[in-house]
Amino acid sequence: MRLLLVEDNADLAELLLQALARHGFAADVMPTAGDAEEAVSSAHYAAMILDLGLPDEDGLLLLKRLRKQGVQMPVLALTARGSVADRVDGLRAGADDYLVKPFAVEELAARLQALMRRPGDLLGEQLTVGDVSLDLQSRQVLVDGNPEPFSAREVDLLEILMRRAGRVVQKAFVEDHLFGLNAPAGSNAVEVAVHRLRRRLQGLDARAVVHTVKGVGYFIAETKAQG
Amino acid sequence: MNFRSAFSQIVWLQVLAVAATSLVMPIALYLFLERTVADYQVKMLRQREQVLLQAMTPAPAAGVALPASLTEPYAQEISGFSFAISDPHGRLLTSSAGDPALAPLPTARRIEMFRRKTGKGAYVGVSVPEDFHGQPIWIQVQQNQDNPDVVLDDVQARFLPAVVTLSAGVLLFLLLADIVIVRRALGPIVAASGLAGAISPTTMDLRLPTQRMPSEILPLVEAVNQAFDRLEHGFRAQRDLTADVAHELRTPLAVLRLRAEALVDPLMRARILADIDVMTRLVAQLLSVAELEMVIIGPDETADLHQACLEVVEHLAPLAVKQGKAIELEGSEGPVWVHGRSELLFQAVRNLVENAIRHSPPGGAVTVEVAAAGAARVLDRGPGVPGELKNRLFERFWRARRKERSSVGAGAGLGLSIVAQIAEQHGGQVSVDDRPGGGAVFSLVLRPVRKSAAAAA
Repeated sequence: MRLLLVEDNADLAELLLQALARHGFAADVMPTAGDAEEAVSSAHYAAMILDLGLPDEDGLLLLKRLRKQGVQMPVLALTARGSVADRVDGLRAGADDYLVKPFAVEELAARLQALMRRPGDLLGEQLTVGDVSLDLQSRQVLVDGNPEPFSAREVDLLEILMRRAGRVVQKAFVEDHLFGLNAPAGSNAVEVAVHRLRRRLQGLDARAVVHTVKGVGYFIAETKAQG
Repeated sequence: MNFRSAFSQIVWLQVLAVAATSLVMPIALYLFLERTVADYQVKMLRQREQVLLQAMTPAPAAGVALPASLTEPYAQEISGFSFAISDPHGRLLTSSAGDPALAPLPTARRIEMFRRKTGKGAYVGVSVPEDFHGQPIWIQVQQNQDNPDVVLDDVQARFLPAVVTLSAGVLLFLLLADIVIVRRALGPIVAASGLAGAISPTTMDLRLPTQRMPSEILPLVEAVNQAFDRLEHGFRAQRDLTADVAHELRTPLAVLRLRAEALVDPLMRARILADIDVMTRLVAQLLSVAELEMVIIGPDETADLHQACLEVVEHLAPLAVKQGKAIELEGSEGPVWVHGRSELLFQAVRNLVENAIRHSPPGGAVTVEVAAAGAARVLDRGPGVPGELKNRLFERFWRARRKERSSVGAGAGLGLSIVAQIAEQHGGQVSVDDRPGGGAVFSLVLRPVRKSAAAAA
C-alpha cells in the first residue's frame, strides 16, 4: 500500500516521508507534476498527497487532467493557499480532501486513513477514545482493556459520539439517531441518556469524557493526562 | 425633465426646432407664393396694356380711339378684364364699358399694382404711365378675380393648407427619425454604463464594449478600459503577492512543524509547536486581511447568523475544552437572517470567540448569544478591556501596538481588526463593553433581513 507524495520542497518531502513511515505509510516522492503523471501511469498507488504549488504546473491542473484520464485513487491536496474559494476550487478539481500548510502529522495520517477506508471496511472496525474502545460488530465496550456491560442505548450513543470523536455532534443529530421517528418530542431524553453515559464512564475511571456544549450538542474526547 | 440626459436635451431641442420651423416655413412659403403670383399677374396685365397701346390711334374728340375688334371682348368682360385710359390729370379718355376709372392714379409716374373691391368682385390691376404721340397718358388694366377663368388665386388659397399639412407631417417624421437615430447612437453608451456599474474586484476581467461606440465617445471608453487594465493589474499584483507570501511562509512553517513534531523533549516540543501555531494563525490572518480588501457584499446576499454562530461554537468547543474552558450558545434557536455572506460572518464570530477563549481564565466559560434582531454577543469572564483601549482594539495590531505594547497579549494580532473590517463590509458594527460582574462583551450588530425577504431568498 504505497502512497505517492508529490512535493517539490525537498526538506518537506523528506520530513513527510519519515513522519508517514512512523504512521505505517510508505511513499514515493515525485518533485514535479510531470514526474507525478509518469509515476501514476506506471505504478499503482493507494492514494496521492499532492502539493498544489508545483514548479512546472499548477497541481490543480494536473489533478483535473488525471481525473479526466479516469484516475480514481483518493487525492489529498496540500496547499499554502487557504481561502474558502481555494478550498472549493480544490474540491471541484477532484481532490477528496484538502489540508492547509502547516499541519500536524496526526491530522494528515488521520485524513489519509479516512480517505483509504472503503465503505465495507467499517465492519469489524474498532473505535477508540482514550482507554475506551468499542467493537462495532460485537458491540462490546472495553474500558482499559476490560469488557464492561453497557446497555444497547448507551452503546448506540457511544458509537454516535466516538465516530466523530473530538468533534461536536449536534443534539438534533443525536436525537434522530438514538430515537429515530420515536423521538419523544421536546423531552430531555437525550440529556438524560448523555448524563447517564457520562456518569458510567466516570464511575469506571475511563480516560474519555462526554462534554456538553450548551445550545449545540455533545462531544467525546480523551481526558487530558493529569501531570 | 432631466436636462442632464443628452437624450432628452437632444429631443427637446429638436421639438423646439421643429415647432419653430413649422411656424416660420408656411409663412415664408406663403409670402413667396404671393409675390410670385403678383409678379405673374403684373406681367399678364402689362401684356394686355401693351396690346392696347399698340392698337390706339389718335382721335379728335376723346384724344384716342381703339378698334372695335379689341374693345368687343372687354365689353363682354370675357375673363373678367377691363381697362381705362386717362390723361395725367385723371380725365378719362376711353375705357371698357361701364368702368369710368379703375383706381386712383399713382402720384408718381411709375408702374404700380393695385387691388380693389367693389360690389362686382375683387380686382387686381396695374397702372402704367405711357407716352402717346408725345402726350403722357395712363393705361390701367384690371381683372376680376372672382371670374371663373381666374385660377391663380385659387392656387394660392389651396396651396397654404396643403403646405402646412405636408410640412407638419414631414417635420413630425423627421422628429421621430431623429429620436430613433439618437437612441441608436446613445444605446451603446447606455449599455456600457450599465456594464461599468457591474465591474467589481470579482469581475475584474469585464471591459466596456467598443464596437458600435460613436467615435466621439470612443476615446473616453478606451481611456476607461485602460484605467480598468491598470486597476486589474494592481489587484492581481496584490493578490499574487499575498498568495506568494503565504506560500513562501507556509511551506517553511510546514517544514518547521514537522521537525518540531520529531523533537524528543515533550516540553520543548509543546512550546515550539505553540509558537508555530501563533505564526500559522498570523499568516492566515494576513491572508484574510488581504482577501477582505477585495470583498464586496452584494445587496441581495443573506446569511443565517444563528447558523454561523452554531458552527463557530461547534468548531471551537473541543479546543476550548482542551484548554479547560467551556463554551455555550444561547439566544435564538432558529435562523436569524441578516444581510451578508455566511463564511465571512463565521470568520468574524470565530475571531471574537477565539479572542474570548484566549482571555478567559481556566475554568471560565465563553457565551455566544444570538439575538433575533440580527446581532451576536460574545461574553467572557476575562480581565476585560480598559476604557482607553476600547476604541483602538479594532485597529490593526501594528498601529495599536506601536503606541501601546501592552495587555492585548501575544497573538491578539489581526483578529479583531478582521472582525471590524467584516462588520464594516456588512454595514454593521462591532463594539466592546464591560460585562457586569467582570469580563468583556463584544457585540457584532448586523443589518437584519425582513421576514418576507428572507422567505423569498
